[in-house]
Amino acid sequence: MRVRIEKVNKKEEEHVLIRCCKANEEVLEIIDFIKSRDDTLLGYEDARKCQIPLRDVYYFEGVDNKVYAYLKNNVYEIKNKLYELEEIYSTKKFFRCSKSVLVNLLKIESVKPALNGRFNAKLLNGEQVIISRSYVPELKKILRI
Amino acid sequence: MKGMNVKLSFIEFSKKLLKNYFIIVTGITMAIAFLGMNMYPNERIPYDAFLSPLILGIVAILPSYIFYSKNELTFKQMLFRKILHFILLVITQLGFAYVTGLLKNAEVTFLLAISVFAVYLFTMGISWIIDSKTAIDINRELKKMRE
Repeated sequence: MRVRIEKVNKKEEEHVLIRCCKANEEVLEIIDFIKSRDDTLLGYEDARKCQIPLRDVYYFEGVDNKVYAYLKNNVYEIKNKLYELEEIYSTKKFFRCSKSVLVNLLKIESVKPALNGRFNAKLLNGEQVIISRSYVPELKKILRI
Repeated sequence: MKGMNVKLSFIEFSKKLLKNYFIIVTGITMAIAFLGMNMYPNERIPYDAFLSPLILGIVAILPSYIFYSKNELTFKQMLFRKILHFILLVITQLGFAYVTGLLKNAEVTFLLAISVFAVYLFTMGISWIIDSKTAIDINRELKKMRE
């Protein structure tokens, strides 16, 4: 696929145009990716409301009936349930890697075995999350392995 | 991470172990059948011998409860429990062999312990090789995705 970048004036609206014969799976993936760049969600840092860019979230974690979004240096409380976030953002490269963690696949640097069929995912910020054995087949399916 | 709140059900865990239990029982039954047919083809076994795979299965599966945790275990926690599991497995296997009168002397005891160790190490090694291959595949695809 040829990629062409066309510069526009500051006054014009920036947009992405995809020219294709058919909107196949590959094209839909590109659309999802572009849209995910714009996605934000509402987070709370203490009582302060913040708009968090979805692309900056490393993972979501459910702790004592609360859900937190972990960014590079900050942690925000999210008012949604983990399963709701999973439903909303599964197309945005977020993957349920254990019962309580939803990880951004684009933030995983590498994985390595962690005994008993589990994997240790090292994130780009140096943090590590466990990929449970029961979620590995789903990950392989997403990655088409 | 702040911690894990979603609990792994004990019943769910037990169901998995039950599945493993029947796999082990089948394996032991097959081993007894094939070894018996080849090594003692003229011997006949009594009805109560059919209970031995079931009992051996319980002895083999019970130490696995050491892996039960409400929270997701870290690598270090899992490694610690693996070591503990191995020790428990050796103790239960030797205990079972002692109760059934199989442990005749120190040499047999040592050989049985070594056998358990070798099988444990072998299965862990195979599992590690398969997981390492999977990790390579996952890393390759993740890299492609990031690019």
